[in-house]
Amino acid sequence: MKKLTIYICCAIGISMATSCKKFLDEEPISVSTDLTFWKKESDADKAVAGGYALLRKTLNKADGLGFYAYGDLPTDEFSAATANRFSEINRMDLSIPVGSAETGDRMMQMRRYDTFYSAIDQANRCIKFIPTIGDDKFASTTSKNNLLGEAYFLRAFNYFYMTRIWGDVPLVVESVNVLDAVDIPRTKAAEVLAQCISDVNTAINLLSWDYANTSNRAVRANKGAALALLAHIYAWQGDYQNCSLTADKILSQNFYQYVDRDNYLNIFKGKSSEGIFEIAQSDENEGNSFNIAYYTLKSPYLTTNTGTAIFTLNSNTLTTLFDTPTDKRFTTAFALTNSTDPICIKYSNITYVNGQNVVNAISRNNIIIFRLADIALLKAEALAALNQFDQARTALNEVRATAGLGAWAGTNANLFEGIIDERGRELFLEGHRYYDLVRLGKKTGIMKFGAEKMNKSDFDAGKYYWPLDPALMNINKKLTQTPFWSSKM
Amino acid sequence: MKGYDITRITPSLFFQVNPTKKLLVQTNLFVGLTKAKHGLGDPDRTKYPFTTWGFPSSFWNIGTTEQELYSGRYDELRDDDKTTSLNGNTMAQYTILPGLNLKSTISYNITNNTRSYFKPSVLSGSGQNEATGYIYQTNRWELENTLNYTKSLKSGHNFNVVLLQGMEKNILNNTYSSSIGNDDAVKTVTGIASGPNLFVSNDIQERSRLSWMGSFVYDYKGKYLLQAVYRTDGSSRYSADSRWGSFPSVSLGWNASEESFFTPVKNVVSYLKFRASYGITGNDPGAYYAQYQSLIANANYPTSVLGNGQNGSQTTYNGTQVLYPDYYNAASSTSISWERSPQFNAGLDLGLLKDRITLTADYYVRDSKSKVFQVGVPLTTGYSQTSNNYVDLRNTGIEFTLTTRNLAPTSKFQWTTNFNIAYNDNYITKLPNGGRDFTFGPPWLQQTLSVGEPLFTFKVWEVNKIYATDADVPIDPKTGKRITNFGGAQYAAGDPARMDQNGDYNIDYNDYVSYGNPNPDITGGMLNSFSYKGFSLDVLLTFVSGRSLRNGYLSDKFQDAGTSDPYFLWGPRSGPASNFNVADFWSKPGDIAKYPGLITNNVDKWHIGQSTYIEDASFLRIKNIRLGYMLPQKFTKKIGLSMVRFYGVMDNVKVWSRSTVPDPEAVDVTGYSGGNDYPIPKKYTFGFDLTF
Repeated sequence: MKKLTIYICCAIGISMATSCKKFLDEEPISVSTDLTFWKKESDADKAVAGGYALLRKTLNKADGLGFYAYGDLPTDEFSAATANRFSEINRMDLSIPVGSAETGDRMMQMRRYDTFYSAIDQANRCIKFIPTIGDDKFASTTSKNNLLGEAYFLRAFNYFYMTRIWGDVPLVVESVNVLDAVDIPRTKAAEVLAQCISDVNTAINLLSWDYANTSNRAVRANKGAALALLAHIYAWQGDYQNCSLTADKILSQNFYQYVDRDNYLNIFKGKSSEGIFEIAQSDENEGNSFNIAYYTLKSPYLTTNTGTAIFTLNSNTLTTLFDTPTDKRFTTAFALTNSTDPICIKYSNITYVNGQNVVNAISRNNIIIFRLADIALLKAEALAALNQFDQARTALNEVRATAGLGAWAGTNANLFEGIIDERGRELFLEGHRYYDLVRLGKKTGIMKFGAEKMNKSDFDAGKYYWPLDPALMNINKKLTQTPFWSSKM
Repeated sequence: MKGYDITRITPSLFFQVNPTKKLLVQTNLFVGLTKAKHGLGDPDRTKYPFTTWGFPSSFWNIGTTEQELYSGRYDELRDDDKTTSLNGNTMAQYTILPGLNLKSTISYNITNNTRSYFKPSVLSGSGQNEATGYIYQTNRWELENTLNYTKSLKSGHNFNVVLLQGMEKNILNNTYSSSIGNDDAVKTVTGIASGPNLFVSNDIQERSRLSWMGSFVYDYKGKYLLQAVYRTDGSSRYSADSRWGSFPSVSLGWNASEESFFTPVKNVVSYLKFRASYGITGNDPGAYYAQYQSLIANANYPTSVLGNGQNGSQTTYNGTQVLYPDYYNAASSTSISWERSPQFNAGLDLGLLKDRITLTADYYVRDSKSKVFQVGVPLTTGYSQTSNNYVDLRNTGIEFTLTTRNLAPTSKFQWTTNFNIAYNDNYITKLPNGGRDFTFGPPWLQQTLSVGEPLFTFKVWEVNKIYATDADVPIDPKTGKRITNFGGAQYAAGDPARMDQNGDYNIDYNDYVSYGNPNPDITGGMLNSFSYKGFSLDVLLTFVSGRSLRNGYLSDKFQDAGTSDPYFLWGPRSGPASNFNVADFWSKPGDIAKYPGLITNNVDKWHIGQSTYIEDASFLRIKNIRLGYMLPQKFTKKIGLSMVRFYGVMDNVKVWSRSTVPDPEAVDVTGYSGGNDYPIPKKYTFGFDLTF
């Protein structure tokens, strides 16, 4: 009896004692939140790495092909793409109707920008929260500055990438509470680029050249990556004076060295001496199975594809671009060139895992975004645009020499086009060709996309900017369609 | 059922002591032990051709191994799923003074589910042996202390006052582990080196609730009744500013038949009571940590694989762990709070002819305010949705229950009828974004919420016929083309004639119209009970009217139809070859057909978003018939038993419905009926009760 009375008293006692406010204060114990995060350097590092991971997701959208489906597929590099939606993209037939909720559709994903904004929001969050972590929590102010600089770099990179695709895009430079968020119309491309330049300059000031952790070389931004981004922004704007100056800052630093063209393919495994900015996808557990390698390779370079390559290289482009058969970039980066189905083997670093009746191919190739030859040729392009032809030829011939080619023999009048062609040879299937051809078109009026993809009048009407998916405009009533496409979808 | 198995054991214990006159202690304990086997369990369906939308025909070659695999009897497959649950409560009540007592109850539920699953290499996607282990544990306890005071005065005034304090805590503890590359003999997650072939995660979540309640009940001689309750609850799901909700209620009753002026008519109207109540109830939906935005370490990207070539959990960028907000689920909202449901109810209870006829009637208005829904947000935030208290909904209706004893109380044969019917009207009263409609589901299964319309209204193309000839298809005077499908293919003979609602000679999702909803207008049932001496017979009928369903069963069967190479596809898939009448399909120009032509084209003929698939889900069902016989007492006493009863039950005897799905009652809340679930079973049960 006594025990029971005690029990009752205890039960009541316990409940009274704990019934204070604390009983209802349940905080997550298996997951981080902003309240528990942002306390030390490794937190900032994880958040910035999150920014790169989100960018990597975006560049791999549309089943792993986003980067190449924007930069290479709609150009003269490919004559056909036997895959759902990629064939339309290859023909620049971007207005096909897609049901508004078929979010898995590749065309819809390519026409949508949402994943860029997740990456931008994370960059905005890093810019907001990293300064709130005390300096004493970092190994040095340099390391804190580097992380903050990377966040500014990521924001600028995402906006620059978007504005090259769509022109005007909504500009958001602060992480907002979703409940307070409002629909934002498209901001003029010039304003977006101005924001990019301001962010990159902030990044350049914050970032160092050297990597504290050398395994981060090229796959995280340093001062060189930020300068390369800036040089590309200036080139896209047609500000070749600043482009040339910026490219010079990279080249004069001598931080990067050319990879011997006999080992050319090492560039695409990633983190080569030439890489300036890359997306990491070659780590043990960060490879992929069905991305660019799957679409461009076949047996014996990819044993799981015994048929023809899904994307067909344009043989005309191959013969006209690579007019010198001894070009080392041609001999090392292309295979089966005497057959009717030649392939580009830049992304052929494949490993195989075997199971019972199953072979899994893993591709371990980084996305190479900026590299030394790219910047050297960008400088040549800028000098040619500025009519400094001799200096332009010097810069151009330096890159040609690495490939075992002699000096370029064309006229000054054709030099700009010649440099774009050199970029085509050097940077084939590296996500550059489309934008290079847009710059060529803007500067000289020469059209090289292929008449069926984009002719002069299409180009002048702005076809080089992608349409927005109508699903985006259902969600955001303030959006307007890209002018060229507005009458077509 | 081959490959499936379920075993259940549920012992229970009840214990009560009165150590002293003033103290009462009770304990209830239920233990549940369940063991199950889930058949093949091949979620990738790599080795498994069966789906409701693609059932193989007899052309499909099935060997012995496949047969074993499909039916889950393959020896190498191991699936061990056990659930142990313990539910109990202990109550102690102490009487302080006559009429005043203190009661303390603690109740607890512990559930432990473990599943160990092994998939041999021939079955797995990786081509290697795979093992999985799950431990799902839930732990809940609740403590309630009540102080109860009851007092009756000789003058006829009766009072009851209750004060309650309660607290509840819920803990989830889930562990998941998986491995790839096990030795053939090792069927559990063990012996695998750390790395991509080994995955473990443990997730613990806790939530708590605090409640205070006070109630006051008063009546005067059972004639005038009053009840007032005030309760307030705090939920740990919500932030400190929004966690408390208050829920008052009041109800009044007048037992008119107790009044003296009623005496003259008491022979006819034996009982009459009026009731009215108004109150607010609450509900705390949402995740355990609804107020917090979680950060995730998801570094996967499309097509990414781990070092073993398999999809898995990638958490690093260049070897550095990543962390960012969960953009892929609804963004959390710090202001999320309780859903509140104010309800008004008025009713009467009537008894006639010494209660041989009783009637209960009620009218109600039930509002559901601030219901939690997921709503789209501007994509420039990085998120696509957020979850918050957005929608207001109203249910209003009437309910009647009529019970009649159809024969005189003196009759040996007795027949009682209980009939109930309810009419309900349900519509949305408030939506976010200025009341703009919002749509649910993918476009082919689109449903909407619109102010003034019922919940989950179906949106479909209206189809009234199949075009018999090309000339039947309207022609766009501007382009000279027949009506197009999403701006592409032109409709032609044999295609469904979808109504072009906006007159643009193009069929797209803008041509959808509201077409029925899954909320029933009228529901009810009738129970007839007959008894004669030891025999008894009960027949229960139920019915639903005014509800629509979406016939996914029919659509799924069609889905295989119409491939350009039917010989290739009809081996593994034979839907259209099942129970259709061939003459129902359009086959040549001029046919007035029920269904489109069987060969596919570019207008997606079998699209489920068509009025063809919306059916009237009303039904009338004989739910069960129950027959019993009790042996006469004088006979049972002789054999030393106090009661012996035999009985037989037939469940789900017959259903009448205009719908063609296997079971018109097997419909989910959104009105989708896939025919994919087991229909409510027809069951025959026989048994007997012995009481010693």
